[in-house]
Amino acid sequence: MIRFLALIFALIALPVTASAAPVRIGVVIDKATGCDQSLAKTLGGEAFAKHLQKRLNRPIILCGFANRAAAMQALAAGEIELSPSDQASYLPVRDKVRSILAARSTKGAGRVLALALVTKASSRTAPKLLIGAKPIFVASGEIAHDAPLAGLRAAGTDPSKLGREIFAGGLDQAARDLRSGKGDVLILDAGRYQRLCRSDKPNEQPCADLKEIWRGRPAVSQALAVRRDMPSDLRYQLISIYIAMHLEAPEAFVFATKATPAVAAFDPTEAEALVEIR
Amino acid sequence: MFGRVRSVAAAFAALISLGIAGCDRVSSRSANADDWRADIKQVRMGVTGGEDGSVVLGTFKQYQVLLESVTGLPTELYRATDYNGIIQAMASGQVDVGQLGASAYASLDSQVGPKAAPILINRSNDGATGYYSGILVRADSPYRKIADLKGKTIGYVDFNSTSGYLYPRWKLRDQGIDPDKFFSKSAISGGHTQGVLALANRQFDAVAFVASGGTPETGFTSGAYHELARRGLIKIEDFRIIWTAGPIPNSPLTMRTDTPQPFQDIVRGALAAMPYDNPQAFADTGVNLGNTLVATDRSAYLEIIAIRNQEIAQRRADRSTGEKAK
Repeated sequence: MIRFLALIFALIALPVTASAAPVRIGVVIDKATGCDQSLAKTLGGEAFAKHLQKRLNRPIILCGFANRAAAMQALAAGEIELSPSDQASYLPVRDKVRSILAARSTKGAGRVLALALVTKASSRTAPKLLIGAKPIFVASGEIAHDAPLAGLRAAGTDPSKLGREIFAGGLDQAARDLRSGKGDVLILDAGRYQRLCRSDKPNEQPCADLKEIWRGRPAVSQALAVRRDMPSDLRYQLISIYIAMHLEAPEAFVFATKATPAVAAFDPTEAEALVEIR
Repeated sequence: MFGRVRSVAAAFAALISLGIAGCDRVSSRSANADDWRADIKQVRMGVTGGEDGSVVLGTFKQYQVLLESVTGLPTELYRATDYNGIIQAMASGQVDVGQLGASAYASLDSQVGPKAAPILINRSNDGATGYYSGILVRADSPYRKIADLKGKTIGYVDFNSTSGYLYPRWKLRDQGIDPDKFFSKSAISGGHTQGVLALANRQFDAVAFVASGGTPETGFTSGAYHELARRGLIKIEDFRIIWTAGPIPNSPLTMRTDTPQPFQDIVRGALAAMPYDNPQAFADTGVNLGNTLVATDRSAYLEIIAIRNQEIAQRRADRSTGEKAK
């Protein structure tokens, strides 16, 4: 009887790591291996698995898939908890999964928030109505032009169907070009929008005669995805661990970004960050 | 014999039922063990005027709502009247998480070392993670450059303010100006808002202030100076910026590291996801449009820690010299 009780207590005293369900992480490799305890070692991902295991206090198992589509199908079926994804592999299972993290490149500013403004009288009240519209940009470059245009594309505007681009050369001139009808839509990043439309005087609204028809960030081409029904605790823990991985576990970060060159860090994403035409 | 078996069976049943009850509690909220919730019982967040006092209440209200939602725990805001209040509350473990200026974090670091760590920092839409310190004068004054302020009075914000005390003094020294000798008199105004208002009321010839939401090249759009103008308490055109220094690493959200790891990760993950999951609530915190929160660590503040140590050493040396002179 004493041995029986000792067994019961020993079972209860087992560490959480041993009793908690593992977190199964999909990786794309040459061939499908399924979930395999030894895969982390085989792939050189021991530091990665160890870091996540320590932080989550749960076993980490890597699961090999031949491509992202197979990994995302497994994620949707509840066979893994975290999967690499891209736009093609995401769309077929988007009702069951969501994007949570994406790599930010060392080059460029990242997913710049941008806006599109038209005059109050304009009939172009949505991104899809911008076909043929002459866009005004304050300047060229990634933040003033490329990123806002990429964001607009994710919102349903085909940039090739816009009219001739106007580069105003300055913020005030860009606003004048819109108001005068030289262009139809002012497309600008959030920093410039704030400088243009946020007055330093009480009750003054410099953009009261303008209408915002879109605000958003560019879509991502690749992301890490989870099931939509993943408990929020685990989702936030994963986000926290990944966004700081470059600082807290550089070796793990190298493994996590092996397939993507020049990654500065991971950033959280919107659930539908992979989707263009949101 | 049967009695002994019955009591063992009852003990076993009790243990099993405890286990089941525990599993229910876990599965209702999380796939992870969440015993930490019972341990900490509530989230305690430190609130100060920070580097931009006028937005602080809006900022922390949104954070409070979010943290209550994601932790399932009541979240208390602990208000401190100055930077030191929040530093001491975090140092003594009365507060789990707080937004500190870089210098305030450096002060906390000197007191508790790795028991507190910066976890998140604001990243602006163009990728910058810093802001500026400036020196502001009245537009009707003759002062156009820093040299014009020789022998004049200056107002600092707080001894623990980065942009309003530590950084401009360090930068001035770096430029060959000893602020303690260059200005005829200096005083602490108690806050960024108070400093600008004191300048407006001609209590100082110049004040050190926080300049953010831009660069010296683009101009600035946020900070106490702009917020006061938007509230109609001052007019921007009544003042002139004659000197700037920076960028200074943005104010970090800082956490006690002796709190449970799942708690730290859930808080950091939820806050970092806020600009994407709930952009309106994040905008309501008063940040500049397009900002996000990215991970940071102590290494981002090493320069500020060194500058603060240098400032303290300088003050001690000055005090010692003064005492000897007596």
